[in-house]
Amino acid sequence: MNSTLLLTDIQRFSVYDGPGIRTTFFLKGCLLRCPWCSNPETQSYEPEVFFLADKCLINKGINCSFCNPNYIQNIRLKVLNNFSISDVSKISCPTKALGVYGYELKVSDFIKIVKKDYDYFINSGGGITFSGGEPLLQNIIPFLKAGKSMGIHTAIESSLFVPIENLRKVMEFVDLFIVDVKILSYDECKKIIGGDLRVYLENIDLLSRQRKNIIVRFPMVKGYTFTEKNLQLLIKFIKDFELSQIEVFSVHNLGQTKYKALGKKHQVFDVINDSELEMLSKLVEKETNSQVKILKH
Amino acid sequence: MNIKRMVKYVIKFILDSLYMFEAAKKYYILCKKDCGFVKDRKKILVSALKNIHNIVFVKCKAKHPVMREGILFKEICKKARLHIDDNSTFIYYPDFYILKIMANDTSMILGNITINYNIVLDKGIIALKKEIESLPFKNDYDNALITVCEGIEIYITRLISFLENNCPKDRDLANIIARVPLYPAKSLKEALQSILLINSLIWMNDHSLVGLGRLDQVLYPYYIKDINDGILSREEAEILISSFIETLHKGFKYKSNTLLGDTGQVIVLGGIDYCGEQCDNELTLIFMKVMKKLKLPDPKIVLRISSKTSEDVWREAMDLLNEGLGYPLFSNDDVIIPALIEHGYDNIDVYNYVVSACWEPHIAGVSLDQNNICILNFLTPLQNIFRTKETIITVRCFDDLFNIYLNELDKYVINTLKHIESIKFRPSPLLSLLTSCNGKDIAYGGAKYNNLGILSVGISNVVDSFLNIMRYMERNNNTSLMKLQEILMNNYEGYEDLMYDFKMNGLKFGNDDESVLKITNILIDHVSRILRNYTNSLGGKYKLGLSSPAFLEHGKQNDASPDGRKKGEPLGIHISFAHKEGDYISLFNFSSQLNYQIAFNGVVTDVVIDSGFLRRNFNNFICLFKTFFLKGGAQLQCNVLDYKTLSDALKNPEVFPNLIVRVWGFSAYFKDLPREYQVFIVERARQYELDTFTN
Repeated sequence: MNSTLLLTDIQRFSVYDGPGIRTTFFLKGCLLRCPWCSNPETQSYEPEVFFLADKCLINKGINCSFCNPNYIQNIRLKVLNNFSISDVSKISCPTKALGVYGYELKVSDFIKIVKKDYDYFINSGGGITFSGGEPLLQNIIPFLKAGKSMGIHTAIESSLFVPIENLRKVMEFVDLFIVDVKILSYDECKKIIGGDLRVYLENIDLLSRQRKNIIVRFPMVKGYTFTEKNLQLLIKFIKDFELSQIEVFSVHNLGQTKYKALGKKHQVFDVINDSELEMLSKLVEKETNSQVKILKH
Repeated sequence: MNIKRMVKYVIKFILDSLYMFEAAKKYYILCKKDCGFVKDRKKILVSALKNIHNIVFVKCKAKHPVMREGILFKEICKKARLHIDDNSTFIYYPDFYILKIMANDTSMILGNITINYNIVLDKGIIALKKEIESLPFKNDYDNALITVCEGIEIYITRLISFLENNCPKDRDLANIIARVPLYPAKSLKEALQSILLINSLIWMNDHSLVGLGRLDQVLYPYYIKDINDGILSREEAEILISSFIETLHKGFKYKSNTLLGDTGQVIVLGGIDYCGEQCDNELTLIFMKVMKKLKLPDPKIVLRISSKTSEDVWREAMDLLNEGLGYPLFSNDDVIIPALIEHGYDNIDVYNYVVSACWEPHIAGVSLDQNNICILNFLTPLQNIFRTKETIITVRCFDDLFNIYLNELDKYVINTLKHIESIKFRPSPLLSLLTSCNGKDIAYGGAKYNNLGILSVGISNVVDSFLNIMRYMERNNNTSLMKLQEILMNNYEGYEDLMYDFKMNGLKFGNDDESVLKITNILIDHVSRILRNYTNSLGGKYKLGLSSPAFLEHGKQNDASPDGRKKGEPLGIHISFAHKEGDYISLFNFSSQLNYQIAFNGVVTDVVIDSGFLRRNFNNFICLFKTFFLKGGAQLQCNVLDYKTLSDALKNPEVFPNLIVRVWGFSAYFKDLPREYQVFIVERARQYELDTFTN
């Protein structure tokens, strides 16, 4: 088994993905295609080239000796489709306009990184979180084991649209599951985000039956998740699985630059205002036995 | 140009022969302060004309400098204008418009100093005077001290009759003045009034950056006695301390040293005692609570913390920090105290450290220590190398360059020390009286400690430069640095790609990577090793710090540097990333591994925090800070800001009159700052905002 991970980023002093001070590892690759995804660079399983013309010196008419000579002409002519991963990864772009999303992390390097932040984890009740993308689609077990052997709290932020086997294998090494809940009707789920809701429900049922510590995270997106019908389904879902910790947040448009960098189209969403967040949080608390926390970035 | 110089010379000559040079110089500075430190000469002239009626002259022609200063002080006490606002709890009026007619004196007036108010509170001026009078043989110095005491007595007599005439109904204040500071204080209110009076006299005696000391410790016996005697409640104490703080805020403009807000009025709270026990008390919390309500940029708080600081104190401190006033600054006793002991301060004294003006540890009441005597710029020796083609041409590999730099650094430090050696300090019998000096004036080495502190700037820029040059040479197969030299001399013109690469890529000062730490600690070690070989003219030693107010001023003088900085741009501030801000943990891990045992004279890690982010992650920030200090962090200063408000304020500062920011080591109203400082702070806030919200 391959014991390296393909990451897009490591975030230290991460304070949104579980308790305390954490270091979050963003893994590359996801089965779903949520229109509101704010980390589009984590969707593909392969490394990808990104290019931000706005930042590029050549594009601004300034010489840049760091770039591949073959690219310079193309950038000037705005022909931007011939970047190759191997060539780009050799370039150390001075303005970070051109680069590759996706790099490998070995267990040994992972341990070094975690050790640096160990004291902060222990003193704050924090730890490590694997997010993404979908962390359950890569072999994270050696990493979880390494974390556990150091006595560190482990969390996974998953959409749970993965084969149940993947979930079963990691369960004993994970202290907290942060699980997204998105669209709860079978057809729309398939149609909009490309996920099989049955798989999701089976997985959440497994976690719930095993009395795992679960935080459910609900992204509010007008017209998709934040609809009358979906809210009713959400309340029923929370009751059915006796979920007690709910986090809600508004979808944001901070991923815009990344879409641009990947040459993908970004759909702009209405940001949910504070009173709508409050409204939803009160509704859910009233109808269920759960506690709702509003996440703000 | 020559005519201009001639005119200046003639004016100086005339002023000198009239004994008016000192007075004219001070009056010019006062008028500049009156105009908020503007450089507009017309405004300064208008202020000079407008304020003429405020001037009070004092004069002394005595030749003996100590005696002269004693007599001048007594004259100040006789002539200073008195004033009290309606309904004031305290009387406090430092008259800043006193000008001294005296022979020109090029010596340096002592500043950056905190006295130990316990001396006055416990004994009173009368008892101090009697001690001196009872000496069998009295020299000029002793007589000068007696003159100072007489001055204070005169000032008090004037105050009492002033109060009788102006506030006949307020007997309470007159009674208090009749007791303190001449006699020991008996209650919290008396203690506060005593401190205020002595403090105002220190300001009037022309000392700059006057600190307040460990007031929670100094005042606690009076507070607890009042509480136990049932004459004061906690709420009443809060009201008293609140008026005390508001009173100290008076004269904000004239107390400022180089920018509005730079007053040096630091109140130190918390800290451990000589048994190693944390000695926070109720006053520690009360002071912070009061400051939170008042929302003033000055005076400001330094909180001494340790591994034993209680949760209550941490929470109150973070609450205060959250107000965005730029304080408290945190100073870690577990690191600073061992460093002070290592440097030669006695165990009995170190536990009483306060800070000079901003952050430099200073032991109140027993030291002359001038902790900001000069500023070393780590970038200057590197600049010297790049300015000399003959040197650059000899560089074959990175180690060559690094060794040449260390040699150049030696020369630079030694030259600086030579310059310091020639500095003479002006005697101050007043400070000598309040600093337990033995037999001679504080300016002549009468205090127990006579060390001088050196600050530094540019270490982040020079470390980044070396890390970049290492990459540069590797990339170009150890080619000579001639090309780079040309690029720097041309201020990166035509080589913006290299400038961005130097700024953005590779490891940087502030990364918790071993190679970065190694270079940084080598530089710190190198300079402190040189300093250790030298003794200053008063027999004390030199101390090194890594913080400095001069990151903008020095930046203006420096050529483009290999950290991607263009000519004239600011240098990095304190211990923080020089260009690309962000990642608290990396910076904290890095900072907590610096060798503070040999460099402790102001070692501030400096960060910006988005105010909303702090509010929403309050507990995590407490853990972050605590862990930083447990791991060996020394001092921490935070600008808690909201980027959006700040960028709006940058467009129109006057619309945000109450917006306060932290400048190098003090808090100030944003609107009062020169444009370049406003721009600098907003840019840092923007970078932190980007870093916090991109994920």
